[in-house]
Amino acid sequence: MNDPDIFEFCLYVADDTVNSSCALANLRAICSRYLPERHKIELVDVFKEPGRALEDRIFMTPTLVKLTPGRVARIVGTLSQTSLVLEALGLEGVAA
Amino acid sequence: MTQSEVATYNSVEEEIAMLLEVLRETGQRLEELTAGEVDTAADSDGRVLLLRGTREQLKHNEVTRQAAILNALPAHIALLDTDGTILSVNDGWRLFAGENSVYSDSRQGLGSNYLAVCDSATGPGSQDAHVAAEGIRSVLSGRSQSFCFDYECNSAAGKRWFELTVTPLAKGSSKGVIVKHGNITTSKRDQFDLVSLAERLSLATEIAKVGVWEWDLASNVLTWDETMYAIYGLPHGTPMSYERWAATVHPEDMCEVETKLQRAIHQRSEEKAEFRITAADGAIRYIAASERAVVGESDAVCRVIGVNVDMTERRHADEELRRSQEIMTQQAEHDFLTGLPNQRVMRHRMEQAISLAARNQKHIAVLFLDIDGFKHINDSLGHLVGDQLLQSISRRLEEAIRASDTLSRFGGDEFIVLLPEVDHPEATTVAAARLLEAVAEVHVVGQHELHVSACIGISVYPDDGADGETLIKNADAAMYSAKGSGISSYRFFHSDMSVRAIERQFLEQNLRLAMKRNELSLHYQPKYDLKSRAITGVEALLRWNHPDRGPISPATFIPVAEACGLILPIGTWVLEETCRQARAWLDAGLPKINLAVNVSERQFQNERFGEEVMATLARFRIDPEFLELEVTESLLMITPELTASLLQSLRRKGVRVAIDDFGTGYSSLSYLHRFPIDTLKIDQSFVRLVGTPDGASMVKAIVDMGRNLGMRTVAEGVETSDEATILDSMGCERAQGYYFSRPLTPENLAALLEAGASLG
Repeated sequence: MNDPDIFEFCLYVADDTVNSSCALANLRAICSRYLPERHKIELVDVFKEPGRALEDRIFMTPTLVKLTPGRVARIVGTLSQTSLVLEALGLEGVAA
Repeated sequence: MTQSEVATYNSVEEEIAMLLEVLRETGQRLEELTAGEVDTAADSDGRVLLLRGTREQLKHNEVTRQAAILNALPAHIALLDTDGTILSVNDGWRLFAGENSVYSDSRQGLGSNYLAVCDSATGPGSQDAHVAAEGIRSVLSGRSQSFCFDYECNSAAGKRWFELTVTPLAKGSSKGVIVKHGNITTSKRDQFDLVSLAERLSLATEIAKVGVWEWDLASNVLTWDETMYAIYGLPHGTPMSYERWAATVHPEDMCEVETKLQRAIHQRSEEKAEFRITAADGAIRYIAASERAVVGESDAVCRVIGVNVDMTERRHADEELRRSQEIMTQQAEHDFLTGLPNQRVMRHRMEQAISLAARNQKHIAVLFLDIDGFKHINDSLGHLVGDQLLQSISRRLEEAIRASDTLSRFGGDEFIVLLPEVDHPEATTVAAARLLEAVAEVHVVGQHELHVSACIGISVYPDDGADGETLIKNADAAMYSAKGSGISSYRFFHSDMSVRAIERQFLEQNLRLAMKRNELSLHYQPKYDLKSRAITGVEALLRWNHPDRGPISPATFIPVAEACGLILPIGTWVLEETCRQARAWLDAGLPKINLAVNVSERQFQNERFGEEVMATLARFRIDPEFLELEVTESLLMITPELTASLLQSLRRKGVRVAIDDFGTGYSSLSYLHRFPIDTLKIDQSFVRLVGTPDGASMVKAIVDMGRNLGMRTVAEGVETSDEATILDSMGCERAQGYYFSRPLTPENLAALLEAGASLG
């Protein structure tokens, strides 16, 4: 059962390459600041699980997929532009 | 190569160049599209494409990780190329090389040839370096798959051990080798410790003469160590089996030994056994063994291991010790002369008998036996005869007692018999009589036929004492009492005996000291003329002030002084002191007064008593007329003739005589006229009754009798004015007592005389 308030993310990375590492760090920072206690992050390494990436139709890394709440959203890149990320996640209101 | 082939080659080359250009442009475009924020892109089949830069980054990451792992290892690791040149080293190597200044440059050997370093080594450890170089070469050349070798390294930090491992960089190729030095000092030390422990254990078992054996059940092979062979006297290495060993065990002991061994196997317990063996030299040896089963992999007992200790010498030593202890015990518990149990044993048995009697509410009796006149025998016939007599008496007494009784020599010619259970007092008297009879039979000692007798004192638990000490003491007191009643008698203890005896002893001892310590003194009680109420004289009264007990009454100590003879010096002192004091009073200008001094019968038995009295009077220039000797009635009655003549002679010289406590003794009135008596002192018991008709008539009778015989009467112990008045009316001339004056110190009496005081 999915809690409606919990943000579930799936981050697709390529080992510990620069952009992937950067995306993971940024995602963690955003979650701890805007979604404390309200998020779950699943990490998928496309080198280790190439089938999974194909299934999920992920063609580039790093790619962040927001599964819940609301509509599924995809963001490609290092997630370094926080305001854009928040907008994509539907959290622009909280970014005061 | 043909023309057309060249052409084809050219076109392929061009095509490749073109494709590469497309690839480069594509990659660049992809980078631009993703603004450099994407690491990978995949095609629709999932094939991952790496973007430019990412590939290098991943490779770098991998190398960094592997380097981190290598650097985390404590071992010193280096990568050598095919020539032996050091290409790469880990932190461990760097640290070691730095600390030990292995290489002159600061690069910790990077780029230098390790084989050359090893080959050129000299001095201590160079041998190991050469071996290491050889090993590395063998791996580099492919002659060996790997090479491993331990070496010792002495440095400032102490002795260390390293393990050198050389492995090829890649399997089956000669691209270089990995050289690893691992510090194995700890495990090496443990290994050494183990070896030395085994050596020490072996040495210890050899020194302790502990033989170690191991019996393999499957093969029935007994493995013995050297000590085992030595114990059994067999040549070292003789093949042993269970049967060969069993043949040496004493047949009587075999059953138990086998039982224990079986138990060790089946119950897997540790068993101990002691048995005898016949060693190869035929000697019997005592073996102490212990054994334990060893469980194999299949959880079944596969062998038994155990030890044998040769106890033969220790056993001999133990026996020796036991024998000497027995002798010592015998000596410690028995009297050397008679062989009877000594005092220590007696006291012990007495304690046991008392606790038993206390529990069962029974009586026990202690008989204290002393040989009469033994000292005389010893003195006249010699100690040898005396000792033989004691031995003879001991034998007789032993025969006369029951098995349950204990006879012991208490010292000298004293014996104690303990009757541990007494039903009736008669049983004790029977035992005492039997002992006296046994002693009384003639003893043949050498050429002497000796007749001796003994006295026995008896004390009974619990009546006469709750502990052995008291029972013995009281039986001793009873024995002395029996001696007093004659030879060859026994007497039961009576509570008076001990108290009186102790008090007597105390008084006697302290009285001797009292003379030396000036604890004796004289007080003087004035005598008054009942008519004029003037002081006519004084009676000297002896006082003893004991440092611990304070004043002790003359009634208490005078009988003791008389019994032990001390009354003679004391009497002499009293007379002298009285005269000396009188002289002092006279010299001080005080009026002449009569001096009354008490004399005991012992003093009268001294023939020179009269002379001494006169000498003393003369010495202090005292007129004999003023001295009155007070004697008791009983004194007059003991040897009337002697006493009479002594008194007569004194009387002739002027000395007066008074009868003290008149009326209390058993004197025959008819005797009175035979003695030159001047004064009758009426005992205070009559004076006390003077107010009653009967008392009055008795006192009147004495006063009248005295007057008729020409004697003066003095009332003793007058306490009231009425008594004084009545006595006066009866014709009694003088009186003394608390009504007139208590006994006074010389100073107080002098003051009284000076004042010329008269009562009333």
